[in-house]
Amino acid sequence: MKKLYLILLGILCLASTSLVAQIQVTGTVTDPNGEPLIGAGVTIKGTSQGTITDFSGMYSITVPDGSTVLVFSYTGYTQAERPVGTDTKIDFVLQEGVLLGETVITALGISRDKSQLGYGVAEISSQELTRAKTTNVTNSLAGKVAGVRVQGSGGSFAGSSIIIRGLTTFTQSNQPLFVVDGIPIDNSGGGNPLQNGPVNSNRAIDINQEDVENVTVLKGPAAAALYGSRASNGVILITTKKGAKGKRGTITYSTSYAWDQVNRTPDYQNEYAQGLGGNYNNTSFASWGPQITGQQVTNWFGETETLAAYPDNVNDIFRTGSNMQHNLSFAGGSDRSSYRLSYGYLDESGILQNNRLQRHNLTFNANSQITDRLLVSTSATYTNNASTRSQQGNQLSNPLFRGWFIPRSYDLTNLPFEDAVGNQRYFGGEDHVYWTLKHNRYNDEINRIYGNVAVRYDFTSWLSGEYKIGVDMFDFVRRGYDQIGARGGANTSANGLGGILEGNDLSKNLNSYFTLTATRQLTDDLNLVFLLGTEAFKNVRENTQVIGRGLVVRDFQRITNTSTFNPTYASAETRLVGVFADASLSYKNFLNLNLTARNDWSSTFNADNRSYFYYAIAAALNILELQPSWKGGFVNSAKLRANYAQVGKPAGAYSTETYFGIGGSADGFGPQIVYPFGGLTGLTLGNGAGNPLIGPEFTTNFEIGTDIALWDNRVNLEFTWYNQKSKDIILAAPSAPSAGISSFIRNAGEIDNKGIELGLSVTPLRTSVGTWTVGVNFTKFTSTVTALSEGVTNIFLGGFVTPNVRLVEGDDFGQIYGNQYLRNADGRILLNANGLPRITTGVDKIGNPNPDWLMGVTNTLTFGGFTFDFLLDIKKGGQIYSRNIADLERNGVAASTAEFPRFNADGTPNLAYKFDGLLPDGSENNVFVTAEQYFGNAGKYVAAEGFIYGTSWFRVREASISYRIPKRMLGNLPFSGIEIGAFGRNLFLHAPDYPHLDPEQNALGISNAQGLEFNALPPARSIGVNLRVTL
Amino acid sequence: MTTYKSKIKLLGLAFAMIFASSCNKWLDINQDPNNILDAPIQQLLTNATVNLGFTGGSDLFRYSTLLSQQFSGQTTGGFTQTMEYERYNIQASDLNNVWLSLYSTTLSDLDIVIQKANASGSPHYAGVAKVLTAYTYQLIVDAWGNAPYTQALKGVDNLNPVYDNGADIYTNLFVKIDEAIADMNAATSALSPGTNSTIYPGAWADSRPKWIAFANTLKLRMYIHYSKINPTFTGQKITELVNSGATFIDSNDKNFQMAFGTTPNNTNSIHAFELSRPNYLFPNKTLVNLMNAKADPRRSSYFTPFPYTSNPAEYFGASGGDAPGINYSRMHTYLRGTASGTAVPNAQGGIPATGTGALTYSGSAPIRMLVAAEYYFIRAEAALLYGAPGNAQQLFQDGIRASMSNAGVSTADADAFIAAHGTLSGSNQEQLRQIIEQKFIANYGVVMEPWTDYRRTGYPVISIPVNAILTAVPRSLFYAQSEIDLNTNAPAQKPDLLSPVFWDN
Repeated sequence: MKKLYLILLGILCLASTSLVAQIQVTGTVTDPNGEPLIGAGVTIKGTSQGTITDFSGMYSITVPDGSTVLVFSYTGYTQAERPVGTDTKIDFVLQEGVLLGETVITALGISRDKSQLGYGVAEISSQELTRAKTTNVTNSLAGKVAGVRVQGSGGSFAGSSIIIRGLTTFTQSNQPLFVVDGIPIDNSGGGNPLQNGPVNSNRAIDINQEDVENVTVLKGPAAAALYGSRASNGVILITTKKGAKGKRGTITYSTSYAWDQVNRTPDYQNEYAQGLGGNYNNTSFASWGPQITGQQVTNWFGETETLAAYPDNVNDIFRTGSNMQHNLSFAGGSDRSSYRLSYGYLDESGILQNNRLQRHNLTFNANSQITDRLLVSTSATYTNNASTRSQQGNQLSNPLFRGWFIPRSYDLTNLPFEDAVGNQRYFGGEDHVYWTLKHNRYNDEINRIYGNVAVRYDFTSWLSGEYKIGVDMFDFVRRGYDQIGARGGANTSANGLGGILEGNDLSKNLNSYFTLTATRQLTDDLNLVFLLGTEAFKNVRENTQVIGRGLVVRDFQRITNTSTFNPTYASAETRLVGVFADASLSYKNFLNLNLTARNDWSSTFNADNRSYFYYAIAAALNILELQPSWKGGFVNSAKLRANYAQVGKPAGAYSTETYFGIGGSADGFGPQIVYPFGGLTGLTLGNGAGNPLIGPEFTTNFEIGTDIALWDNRVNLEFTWYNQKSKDIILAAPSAPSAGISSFIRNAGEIDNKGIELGLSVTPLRTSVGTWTVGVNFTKFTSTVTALSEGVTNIFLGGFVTPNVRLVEGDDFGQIYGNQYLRNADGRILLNANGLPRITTGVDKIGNPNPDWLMGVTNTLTFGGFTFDFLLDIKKGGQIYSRNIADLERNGVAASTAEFPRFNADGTPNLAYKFDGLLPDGSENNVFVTAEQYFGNAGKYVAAEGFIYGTSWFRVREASISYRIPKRMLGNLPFSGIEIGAFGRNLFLHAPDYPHLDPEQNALGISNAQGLEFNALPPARSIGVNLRVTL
Repeated sequence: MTTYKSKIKLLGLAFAMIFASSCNKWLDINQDPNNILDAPIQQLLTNATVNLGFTGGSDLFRYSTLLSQQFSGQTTGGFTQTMEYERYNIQASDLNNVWLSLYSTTLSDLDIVIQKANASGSPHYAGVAKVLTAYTYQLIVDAWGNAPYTQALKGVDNLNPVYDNGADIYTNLFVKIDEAIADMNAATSALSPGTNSTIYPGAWADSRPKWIAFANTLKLRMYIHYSKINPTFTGQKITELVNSGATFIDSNDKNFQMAFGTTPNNTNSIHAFELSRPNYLFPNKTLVNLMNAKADPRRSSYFTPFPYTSNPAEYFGASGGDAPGINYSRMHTYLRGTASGTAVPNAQGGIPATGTGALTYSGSAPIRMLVAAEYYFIRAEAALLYGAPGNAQQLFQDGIRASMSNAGVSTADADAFIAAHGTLSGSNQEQLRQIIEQKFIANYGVVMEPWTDYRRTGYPVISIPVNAILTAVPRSLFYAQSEIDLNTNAPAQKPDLLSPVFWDN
């Protein structure tokens, strides 16, 4: 209904305005050597109107007649402006430079002169993004932007968490808003299940990075306020590639192929066999057996076997994965319109068998200047993304549940794992690695469309109105099959009887914006850009799922093939309306003031609390403009900026009431009752109490910073300090169960984020044949929980009884808690009489997963047609609890457990270990124990504290080399450009405090709970080649 | 210029008007379509009985059965929680789940049932919900001692319920049970529980006498719990109750238990645990040896033989700290329901829990929470020691017979067993030992009571596991960590598991 109002309003306005003349400007943008710059930006100053140059460096743009200024920009070059006057042909030469003086795309797609911004933004070009090809765009952002922490959750299909400037809320999402061509899209998902099902991707995986022109990161609320509530964690703004007007069509084909391997595998011992206490035991999955000397034993299959070590029995689980991408695009335009059509295909094979992801992207965008005043543009992407995945989490069907510590003498690779029928044949209580990969299956498929249609009308030379409507809709189909005889929960927890999962998730997001923009040169020195707009947003989610248990016929994957099935359906809808105004006032180029105000109405509150207002003020001061004589020195520009901004955030759906729902029973060990129970259904009052009084939570940011360019822009420095506070955080405050509820919704809790961001770019070499640029970005922030709900000492974010991740008042966000070794007042460990440690009965803080700082270092060297580039990713601090390392040790497979011979010459156990601690009588421990006792279940393993590791790392995150064949060498070939290259990801890892595995894993995936590593898929290292041909 | 300015102003005004009028309506959608704001009494009772039945074979069952050594926590090599529990390493945070389900699900739903019953004039519902509430609090007091009672279950109105003394709670529970009996006896009731109750399902006319028998037997059970601190009270109260002509659970058809289904997620929780956590629990040597010593015929339904193919069948239990492996007897049809398939033993005679070579069970065996045999053994003990009416010898034999019958033992075999082992002899203490040992066997799979009997009488004699972290058998459980963390009125955590509950002092 409101949409109609807005359209009517627009029509009313149309009728009342006078016509204004427009002119068409064309030209070529080149570098100082006359080489055309492809994809350089040409925008009309102070507006979101713009275009990019084509493959000959040519552009065509329609500008209003009058006082218009064109802004030319290109990554790595100094941005420049040129008044249009009456010229219709403007050729422009851009000078090389870096970082500063650029036009950046800010909120709502408005392109602004970066020197006029009072807040920090960062831009990443498509080249920077896709140098080392990955499947998920979130992984591509790692290490590239100051103030941004990207945390991979392990595995090539898994997503990465992006935290911008710290965490702003407790249990709701802390992930930024993703916006594609001005319309927010859904980036949900990526949380890993703890007990059932496969690893998951965040939905940004549906984006084809080859379609991305650039990514702008809006870091703080000031930059993001125009996107309202959903932008309180920052915005990742993606602009897709567009066609160029007035240019013949071009065809670009690019392809890449990469090979993936597990980045790091454990150091194993290969001396001691399966068993316990020095004896061979064919049903044990520990490797505390006898020394392997080629003796004969009876294996689990009842056959006589010569005992041997199989050094690669675990490594063989992982294959070489691959990532293949093909992209074909057509772009072109007439003098009044342009288009781009692209098709992308990606095929990734995971490092575990039966893990595969195939993605098709069809992207189309076009814009047309229908009349001199009316511009219509559209952009749409269809994605089909299908994958097969394996089981994950703390469950016996996860191939890596015990896969990392297969007994050293068990020939996992060659021994059979099933009989002719498919019945599992394995000594363990868990599912055999290959059996579960083969038989406990999961696949999903998404069909997604996102896109927008925008109509812009220029009422006068200085006033324009735009209506934009965008949708993001997907249907996510999930299918699981658990084989009869599965020992773990797999997809359906069918207790070995086999099960089928059929799930459908439907997500609909509708966004509509109406904006009016006025640009006025108020006086010779004073320029005003004023924007007034409304937003309406609607999100609908529907989830349909049927779980069937008890397979009738093996391998017949239909829900009707099960003896019982439980269907469930749930839906949720939220709506939001916002009104906003933004005024940007510039005095000469010296001072810019930006005021933003917004009021939101959210459906998730009761009517009384529904409306909330917030605002932002930002100022930028270009010092050199103060005094003309200061210009011309070695300082090219110096800007001071400051802002104060607020963003309000609504609650989740349906938190204002307490509801009765379908009951059931479960105890966390697997047993559960699911209704219907013998034809009955039970209802229960929800344990989470709602609250009709809740209102919005607010994040307030104060930020100051400076941008300085020196020596011909060869040195660029950006520095930002900020203090960001969140208050009235909406949370389900846990309560004592004896009250009859376990939580209730309320506004409570505060987080304080303090941080600095530093960006430094230096170009030591800049000649006509080559340049060398070094960039450093530095991120340091701490997120402190300054208040929790009254009476609440901690909030559980995820994990187990021990260890778990929780929020504790006064401490950093998300601390790791677990049991510790029992100590006396002096901190000495107290031991049992047998010399083994005791544990505390409760849990205490044992680790902090938050890193001290992050640093990314980029190096770009261009020489002739060659570009060499690498990205170093440095992380200092941040701890993790590693259950995998605990398992490697307690089962005697880690090389470190065989550091000393386990047996003496006479065959008796070698008592080589002694805990440093006190015996029950208070005396110094003098009891020596065996390796098995030391590392075993009653030894070091008893306390989670023993497996906290630092995750500081130095890694070569990306490296690439490419060569663009010079045009003259292409001769008469029909190509206008050919580029070839090679690239790698995760090429080198140095993690001095973290043995055996790559520390970039998180059992819970994209979650506010970080710091637990638990049988997750390991990250991969990849090496690949790529080719790009332009016709 | 001016016209434009005013135009902008006008636009702003238009915006404001649009939002004022249509905005609120468009945003009024925050009512959860997946759940409801009120629920019928019938389905609330269903969920309460289902949760009680489930709990009877879940966490609390595992703690009490391991502490009383009916079962042993084992492993095939890895870490298992049951192994830790058996060596008395039960942590406060382990108890969060059971505490939550007892208070926030079972008791909370029963409380609403009582409110709704009172509001709708349905005393039969109120009576059933009250006796189930009493049973639940009895479990809580026996396991934890002091607990929230008078101020519990008030939701956001009281987030910090005080802890009442266990003895006071018991005293009040007797009142509650009497109220329950009166309610259930009410001549009229707008609504009465029927097949929607998974405990004593069926027509109210048939289930009412069973509910009342259960209420009285629950009182008996609670009276006998006073034997250690006040045997006179025990004797006096049991005498009064028996002489009042009250009905009791005196036959297996009145057993307070819940039957389960055979389909996944409808099976009993002991069976489901055996499937989801294979090799975590094996019958304990303490129990198996007691039964072996008398060639107890119940063994064939209680346990699988070990070695599996032994003939005559032999049974072999596990104990804490045993070497990892599966070479023990396993729980059998009595707890898991009918068995099918052919077991394939390993070389030593152990059979796998799941998968190839394992037996398949229906999973539909009931979770037993108070059985006829227990009634007879309570009466036997009270007659023997506390001056209550009845013949201890006869009651002892009735208890064994009820248990045998429940385990599917033929009358002939039961008679033979009673002829050989059914005579109480020796000192009172010696006779008490015989009664409690038989009660311990009869209460195989019953949550809490065997541990309670041990704490009360010291029988059966338990050897502390070699790897135990305490030097004595635990007397109560830690307060749940969630209470310690979140309830400002929670007492200080117990120093260890050796703090006795009120009747154990």
